[in-house]
Amino acid sequence: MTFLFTSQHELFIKRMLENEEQEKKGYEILLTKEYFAEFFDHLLAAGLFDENRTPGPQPATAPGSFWIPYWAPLDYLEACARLAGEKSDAVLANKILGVVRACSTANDSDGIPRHNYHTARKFAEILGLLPTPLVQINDIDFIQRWLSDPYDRGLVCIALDKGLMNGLLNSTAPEDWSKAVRILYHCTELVKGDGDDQYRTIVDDYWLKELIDNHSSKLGEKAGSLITAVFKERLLQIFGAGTRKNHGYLFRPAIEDHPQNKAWHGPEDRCVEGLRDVLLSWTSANPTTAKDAVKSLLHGELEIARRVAIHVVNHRWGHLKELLEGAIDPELFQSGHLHELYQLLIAHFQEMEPGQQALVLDAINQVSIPETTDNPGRVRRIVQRKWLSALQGKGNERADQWFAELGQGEDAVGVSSHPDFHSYMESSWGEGPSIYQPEELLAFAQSGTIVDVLNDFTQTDRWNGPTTRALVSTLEAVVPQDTELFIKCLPSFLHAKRPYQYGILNGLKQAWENSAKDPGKLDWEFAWSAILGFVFKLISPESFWAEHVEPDADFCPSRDWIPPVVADFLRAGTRDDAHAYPLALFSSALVLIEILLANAEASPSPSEDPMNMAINSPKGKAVEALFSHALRQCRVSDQVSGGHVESWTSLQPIFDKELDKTKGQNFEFSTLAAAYLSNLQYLSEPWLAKRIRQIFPIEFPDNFNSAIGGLAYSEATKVTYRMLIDAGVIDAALRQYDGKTKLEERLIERVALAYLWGDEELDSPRFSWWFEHSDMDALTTASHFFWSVSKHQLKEEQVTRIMQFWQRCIEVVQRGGVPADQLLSSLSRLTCYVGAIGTNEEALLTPVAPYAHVGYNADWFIEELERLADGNPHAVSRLLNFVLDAHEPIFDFEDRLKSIARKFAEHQMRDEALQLIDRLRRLKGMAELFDELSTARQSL
Amino acid sequence: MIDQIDPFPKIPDALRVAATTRQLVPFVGAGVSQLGGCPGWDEFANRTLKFFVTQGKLSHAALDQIMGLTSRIKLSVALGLEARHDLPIKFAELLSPSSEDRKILCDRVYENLGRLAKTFVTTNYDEWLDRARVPFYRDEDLCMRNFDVPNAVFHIHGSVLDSSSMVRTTDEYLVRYASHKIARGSDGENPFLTLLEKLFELKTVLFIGYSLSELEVLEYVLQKKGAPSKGEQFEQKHFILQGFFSHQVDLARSLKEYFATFGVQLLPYSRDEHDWDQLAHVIEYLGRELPAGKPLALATLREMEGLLE
Repeated sequence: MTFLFTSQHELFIKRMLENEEQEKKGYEILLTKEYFAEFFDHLLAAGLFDENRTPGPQPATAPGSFWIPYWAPLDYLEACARLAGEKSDAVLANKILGVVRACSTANDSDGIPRHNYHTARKFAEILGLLPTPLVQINDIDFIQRWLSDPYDRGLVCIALDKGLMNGLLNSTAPEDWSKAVRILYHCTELVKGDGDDQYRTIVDDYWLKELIDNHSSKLGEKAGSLITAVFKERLLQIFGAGTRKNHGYLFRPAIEDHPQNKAWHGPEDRCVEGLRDVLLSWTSANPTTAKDAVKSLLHGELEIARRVAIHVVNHRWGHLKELLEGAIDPELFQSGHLHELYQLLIAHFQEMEPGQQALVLDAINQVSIPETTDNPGRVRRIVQRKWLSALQGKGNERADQWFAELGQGEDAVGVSSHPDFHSYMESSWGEGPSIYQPEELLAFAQSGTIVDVLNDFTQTDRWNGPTTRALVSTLEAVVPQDTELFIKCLPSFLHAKRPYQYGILNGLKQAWENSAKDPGKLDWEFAWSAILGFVFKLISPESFWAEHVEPDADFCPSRDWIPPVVADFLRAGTRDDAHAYPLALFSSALVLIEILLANAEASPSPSEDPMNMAINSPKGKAVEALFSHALRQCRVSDQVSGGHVESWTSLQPIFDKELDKTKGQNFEFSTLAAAYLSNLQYLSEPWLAKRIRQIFPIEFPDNFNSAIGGLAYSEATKVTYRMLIDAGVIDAALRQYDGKTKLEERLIERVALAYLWGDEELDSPRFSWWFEHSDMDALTTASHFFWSVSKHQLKEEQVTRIMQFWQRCIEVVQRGGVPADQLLSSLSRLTCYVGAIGTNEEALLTPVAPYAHVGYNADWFIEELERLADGNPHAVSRLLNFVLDAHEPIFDFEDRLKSIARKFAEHQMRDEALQLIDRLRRLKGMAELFDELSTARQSL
Repeated sequence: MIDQIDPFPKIPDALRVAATTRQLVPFVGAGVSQLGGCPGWDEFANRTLKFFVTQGKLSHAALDQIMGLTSRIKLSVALGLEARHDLPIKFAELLSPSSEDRKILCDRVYENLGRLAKTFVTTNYDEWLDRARVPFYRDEDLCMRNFDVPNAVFHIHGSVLDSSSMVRTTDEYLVRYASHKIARGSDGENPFLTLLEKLFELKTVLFIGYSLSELEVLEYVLQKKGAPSKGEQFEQKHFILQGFFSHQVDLARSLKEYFATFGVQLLPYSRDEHDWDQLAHVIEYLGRELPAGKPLALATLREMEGLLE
């Protein structure tokens, strides 16, 4: 049926002209109609395809950044181009080309080309859809402009790769092949990089590689001469001067694909691979015409081109071997040709005529060595033997004999592992191999010789040979396999070298930890006794601690590794009451802990991250072992006697001693004592009350800071909080850490928790200070904390306290003077405590609603509004409008906005529902919901 | 099922949604202007003939004979007399309010009517709706081009502002409502019919002020909007206000079924207390209950889809 363009269609186009949204929608609707192409002329006449409507980069919200709009007609133009191509509709195709041509020359008002990579990509796709004869070489030249987009270097190339290139190369028309060559010419354009001899390709390297890989074969077959000229020109541009001219192998070690070629030399690689591949395919398709081109390259000025030619001769030997005959001379054996010529000789020397082989050997004999070289005679022999290594074993007696001679006698020279490369790079990682395997170590242990065997090993080659570190690892791994055996061997390890002493202790520790899940048959009571005895003998001598330790680049265990592993091992034996060493060993273990506390290396200065330092230093590990031991001992006392005063009394001197040292030193103890504050409360509350100021010594700032660092990790209790307040610790710390985010946050959370417990009030010194000084960061932290406990079952009075805090914050904000966006956003999350919206609640919610999005809290806030919508939909409507006035959602998380709209409709608020949906119409599913709620037709 | 007729009609949900989404277009008939004492369709035809009697161009005897004919024939005769005697009929005077009180009443009625929508269609020639609106009455203006002009009034049968635009005779009706093919050939279009079709397709029409004696005009409009497809025949997205006395329940039921065949739902109201003046109260009620909503972009986008249907 003939399509009739009527006044309703005119109105449709008029609507499209009204705004971008309607224009976009118009194209979407049109593309659902079979007759969409009938509109082309009318849309064109209406000016919808005018070049001045194509958008350029638009300023984004962040200063200096841009976004690239998608021009609405592009999909329509593409669909028309597809139709024109399918129906060979030259009239329509030419109209589309007219649009492409006009828009591809669009400039901004200041004459600068208007770039838009979406438009450029679509135009490139459109060219690929149109009948190829209609696409002119001038159209191809638009590619140069499209590719100069400052914000993208790939999309146009991808489109050309998948579309137009295929069309042109599948064509039977030679002029189309020339257009394909022109595309490659533009896409391989080289742009000067940062340095004088640095280049980059105008197209992103990855996509250019795809383009060349996908089409070089056909290009070589159909337009060998033209495309060879393109790549030759590019090679000359990049390799024609500077370092690359005579040392091209530094940038492209091998012409073939090879791991020695480095991906960061993209421009060099693309040009070399392009020329290589087109020559290979051209030679296969038409050796007669290709031969002259290869010959020209082989005898040309450009070294890299000669290498490509040698590679092509090698791989198309049947067609091109005669080219080599005229080329064999000493010049051919120059160092730049090494890799390719070496590979050619390996592959084809044996096939050469004896005379030709003799020419090769003569050329090697006359190979030239730079006169400036030190010891040129030796260098010559090295070079000659390198070339001969490619010929030896190929049946030529002279070559074999000469190769052998050069490797013998006083002047013997060797051959590298990779003689066809000037340099060869490889890398490896890890601790290397172990000289003995686990089963061998087990056998040595059974024979009682393991310590001797281990001590006898000496590491000689840190690159490729077996290492001490690997042997220690093997020992660590094998100990848990037969722990009983190694417990028996343990005394002999007093004579082992330090790495293996560490190894067996760490292995035993692993075995102990494993036994928690699988006890096995080992008598651990006996084992622990043996281990503690061994450790005592190991670490009690002063000589152990006086031993000088050299730094080890291989990270091999030393004496310094032993105290920490001992401390960790002891801690592992007390941490869990269900998996601990026996009561009878407490005193032995405590002796070891005291030795460690007295001798283990402590940090001489405080750390910015005290806890990290404390738990990783040898002294800190010893302190942790002490706490673990003390807690275990007291727990056992509680079980046995119903109290632990006596146990604590025996332990207290050790704690007193360590605490007395916390005056400008012993930072580990300061940190860990604070971290174990609630544990100290358990060990002895009176002692803690008496010593709290000493644990947090304000007069020793470094120890005080270390303690505050540890406090952040301690469990909060009402008793310890009261002690800290009474001792002035919290107030002092808050003043000291003002602005130091992490620690200050932990302190504020502690205060906020106390507020929920009823141990702080809004008019207490802490809160008063924050309110009076409008400390938005502190109030935000407290607000965030209140939200973070929302999953807990809070009492009604606690919720009331949170709402009172919220109210006070709003009063502070309304006082003005300080930016409060983050606080208001954080407060919006407290909506989770609102049960229903009344006047008071709305007064709290209204100020925070416009800021909910600031801290990415809009989704949470909307979730709560959705929950509250049934109770007071009118208030929710007002609040939601405040949210949306300040923030445009990009998706409807869990369909909450849709749910709110439905609730409005259910509560006789269809106007509000439809207006909300209309406002959010760009979100998925909103248009459908609009239809659902606005269709209320009645039936008979 | 109509069981009783109340003074004010029940407002269907679809009508509320249409007003909210600005999809409601009141289609205003002579009954509204009659509240201001303006003549109805038949009275208008009679007045044109009486104009020639007063001018001595038509005898009372001839008038008496012609008065029994249909309104459209009477108007044709009057126009013939106008041409023969070169005596222009003063249509504006014929359509003026009967009294100042009636004018005040009608002003208020049209003010209330104005709350319902931003676009109006009328078969009236008078200027009541033109205040603060753009009137379209010439043939070339009654087309889709002006479909979305804000605050517009489409006088689809012309306006007293230009008597040549007025559709009065049967010939003029036939030309105005001629189908596309008859009017423009196989590839032509009657833009007026396109406007009418799209109006009924994309908008919700509320007929106001059409008496049963004017059903003929209404049927003409409804038939030309395009026949509903089989599946659509029960869909009632349009509405008509119609006054009845309480004892006319059966008539109301019958008319309800009759209008349903056009996709129009009857909204009856009771004339028991104020006779036709009840319409003024009903319009005031609707103006209060169905205020036009804010313009919605989604409604425009949906309309665009309809423009290509």
